[in-house]
Amino acid sequence: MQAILTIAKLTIKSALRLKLALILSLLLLAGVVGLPLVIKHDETAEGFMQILLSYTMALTVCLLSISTLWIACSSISREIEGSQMQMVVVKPVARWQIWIGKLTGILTMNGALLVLSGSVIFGLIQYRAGQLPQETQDYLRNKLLVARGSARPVIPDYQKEAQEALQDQLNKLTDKDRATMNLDAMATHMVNQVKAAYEQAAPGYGKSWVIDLSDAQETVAGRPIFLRAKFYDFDPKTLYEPMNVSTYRCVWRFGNPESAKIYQTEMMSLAANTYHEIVIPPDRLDADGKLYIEFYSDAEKPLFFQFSDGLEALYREGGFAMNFFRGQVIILLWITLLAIIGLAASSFLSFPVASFVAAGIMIIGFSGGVLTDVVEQGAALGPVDHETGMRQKGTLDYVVVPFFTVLLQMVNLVLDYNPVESISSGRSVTWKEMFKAITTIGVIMGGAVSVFGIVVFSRREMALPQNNG
Amino acid sequence: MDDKLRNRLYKPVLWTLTVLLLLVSSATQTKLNQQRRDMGLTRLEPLENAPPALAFTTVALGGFRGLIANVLWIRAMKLQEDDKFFEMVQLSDWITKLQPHFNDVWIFQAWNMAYNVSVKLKDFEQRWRWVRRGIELLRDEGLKYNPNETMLFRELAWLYQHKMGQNMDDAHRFYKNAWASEMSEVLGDEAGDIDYKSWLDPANTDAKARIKILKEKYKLDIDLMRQVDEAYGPLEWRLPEAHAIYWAFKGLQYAKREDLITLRRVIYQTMELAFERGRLVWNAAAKVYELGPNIEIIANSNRAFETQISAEDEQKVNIQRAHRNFLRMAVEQLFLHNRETAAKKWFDYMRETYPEAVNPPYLTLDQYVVERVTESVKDSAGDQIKSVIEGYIGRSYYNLAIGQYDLAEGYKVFAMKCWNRHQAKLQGMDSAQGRVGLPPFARIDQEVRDRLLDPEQTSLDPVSLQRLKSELGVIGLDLSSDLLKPGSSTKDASQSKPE
Repeated sequence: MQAILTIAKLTIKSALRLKLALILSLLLLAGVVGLPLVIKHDETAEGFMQILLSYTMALTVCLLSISTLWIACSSISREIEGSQMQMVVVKPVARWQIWIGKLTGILTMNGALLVLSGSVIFGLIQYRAGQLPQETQDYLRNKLLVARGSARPVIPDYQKEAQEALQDQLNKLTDKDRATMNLDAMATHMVNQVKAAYEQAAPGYGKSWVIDLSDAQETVAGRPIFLRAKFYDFDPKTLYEPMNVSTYRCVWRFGNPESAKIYQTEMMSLAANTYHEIVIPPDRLDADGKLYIEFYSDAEKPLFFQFSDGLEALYREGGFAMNFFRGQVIILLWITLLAIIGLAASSFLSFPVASFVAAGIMIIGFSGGVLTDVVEQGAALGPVDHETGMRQKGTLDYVVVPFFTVLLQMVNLVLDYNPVESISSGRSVTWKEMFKAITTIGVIMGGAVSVFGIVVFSRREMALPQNNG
Repeated sequence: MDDKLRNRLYKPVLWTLTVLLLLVSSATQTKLNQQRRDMGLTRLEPLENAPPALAFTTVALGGFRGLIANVLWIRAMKLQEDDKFFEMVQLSDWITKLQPHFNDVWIFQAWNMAYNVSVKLKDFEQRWRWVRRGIELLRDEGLKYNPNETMLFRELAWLYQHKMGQNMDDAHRFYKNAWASEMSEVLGDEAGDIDYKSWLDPANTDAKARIKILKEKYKLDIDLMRQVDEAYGPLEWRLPEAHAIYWAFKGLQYAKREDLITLRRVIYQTMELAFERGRLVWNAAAKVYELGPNIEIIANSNRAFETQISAEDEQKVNIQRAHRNFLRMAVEQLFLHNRETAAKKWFDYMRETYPEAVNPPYLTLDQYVVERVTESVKDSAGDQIKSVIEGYIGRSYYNLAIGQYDLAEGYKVFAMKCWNRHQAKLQGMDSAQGRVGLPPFARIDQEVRDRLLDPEQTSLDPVSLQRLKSELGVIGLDLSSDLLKPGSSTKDASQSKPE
């Protein structure tokens, strides 16, 4: 342990000697404090806070990622190239200890910098929020500067219902008729039909849902709940012009219809295919902790609230400070993984090549969107069909697409835990999520790459002539 | 010179040289830029009016600008798909600044904010913010760096004319009111009839400050406003139509021959709208502006139509049809505003220009207007014609309540003419008189008036009711009431009722 700590200390000292820590601290502070002065936002307090949170956190991630890669890639390879490592490995210290010591040093420095930038961001947010009128502050503390949990209506077992309905239909047919039919297509059609019946708000009729918030009954008492809703009108014109959405005049009612404590919104003009957040005043749950929701619109065609994204109640689950802390822990995990990748690369590659490889991996990490597009379309290199706008499969796609699929799965293992997005939209980064991230990113992925790096470093021959440039 | 002295002088000499060279470079830059333009040495013209940071960025990034703009564009679209708009302003700013000469980028970003983003928000005030953002992007930024680009003028005029002026968006009244309030603050109550003499030669600091706001915030040049008003006015500058015409008019100064028609098209279309609803009437009770026709600009609107008809080839027939409809409406509105002489003049002009517009051709002005308004009502339908007459009488009283006396009188006279026409048709038909004949006009008038004055039945708001009572001599009007002042911040009467 002593050996590891000594190596860690030496790594930090080396970074301090290069004034890297100082420059990074200054850059982080300048960025975090200076960004709010130059960024343009949508002129709302909420928009400003969102952009402030997301940009400052993204800036922190970006700066720390780049510096971590640089230190990690240089720390082993350059020491080998400068013949310093040869002096260390002949000491009574195992190679894995050197490797872990380096990682500990980088982690400690990153941790300190993250604490510094995190504290400044947190303080800045609190200070800025404190400058706002009390009403706006309350709104922000309920919507954005908070950890909001999420609950959705229970999805009925429409598959089973569709199956029963299909069976009923089939029972009415003769064997001969059945033999001529495409039963798979019928089953799919039936499932879609039953599902659509549950999802649609028919014209001239209201639609209602119940969301069970009994687990959160105590925490939401006296606080507003936010309903996040999205409906689709499946207007053919949006197939060609996705942004050209229609609006409908709608009214929402909240509260048990049998009680007198009903809240009805004013008539609101809501766009289709768009998320809307509607504020539900405090204490609209019934005694069992159930939230009753009704929706009415003047639409002359059915509107669809899909199970996947139709309705979601967002309620207070905890405070902003702890949420922010958990988010910072996940960011530290991201950076740790980068440090491990950098160290592993520098264990067997020269500094320029290791930097190139590690930076390439980081860029792939940031290209999740491109990977997703390729995997979803099933093609990356074929020509585009201008009729459908979709890419056709090229010869090389038979290799590229499976490779991208694996890459995407690996990238998603890391990016599924995105604290920047959660925190800037006031959603909970739960303890469970945090520990899951520690296990996935830190233990499984980080562990695997570390083992690779340590093994390679342990087996590397140090005193080869080409190592002593 | 010994080494010590040389070392001491070395740095100051270098600094002096640096400053001198920078000065010379700066002095020759304008000429070089002109030569680059004249000789076609560069695909891109140097950026005009750009702050140093932007000028530096566009030059320093070179070919990478497009790449970075693409990445930002992809991010903007992704965020928009996810309905996250808080970054849109910043991203649009970066994207446009990275490609400041690319017209389509400015046009798309402005349109996207004003149309696509705005409509996704449920709160009208937030929608208005995005519409304004779109306008500001073109007006304050796009035209600043591309002052001669006709298409940017056209798009800006379109945002005023269509997004703010039309009623495609549920929030269109909010936009109009918000814009009218902003303009009222700068132009005061004379926004519909500006005294350019005093504005062009401001006498006091207040006037100077207003002109400064007009110029710096709204990018409006008072002299150009005067020219627009002379050519097409008097326009109501609190309404978007006046601004659509202003920007299209300004664009005409820079337009190439092939772009002239596009901008003139904007002008004539907007003139038609400005005539239809280019006058503001303040409704004290609802604290909103209401729109009415601006009959003062009929002659200028007509001229805009004539200019466009002579300039168009492909669209000529369509524009002539629109012109004919415009003339029909002009005659009708002049008549309703109790301006029979002007109505007669335009009626004659219409008959001369479009003989088919008056059918049958022997109709007099009176007959023509009554015919137009009642053409949808069957002759025999007494109840229907009575409700039409009641409607006009009701409008007459409403206009009386909001101080539109000409219109009040016009509607009353018109209601009377409808009554006369219907009764005249039934003359000598005793059986029909009993079946579809109308009660005496005075009785219909009294019925409508009683209904309007009855608090249980009235469709008027409390303030308009009070005004009407005063106008009719039923009670005295308290002119000091805050509710009657435009822009009053007093609570709405309906809101002050106990729940």
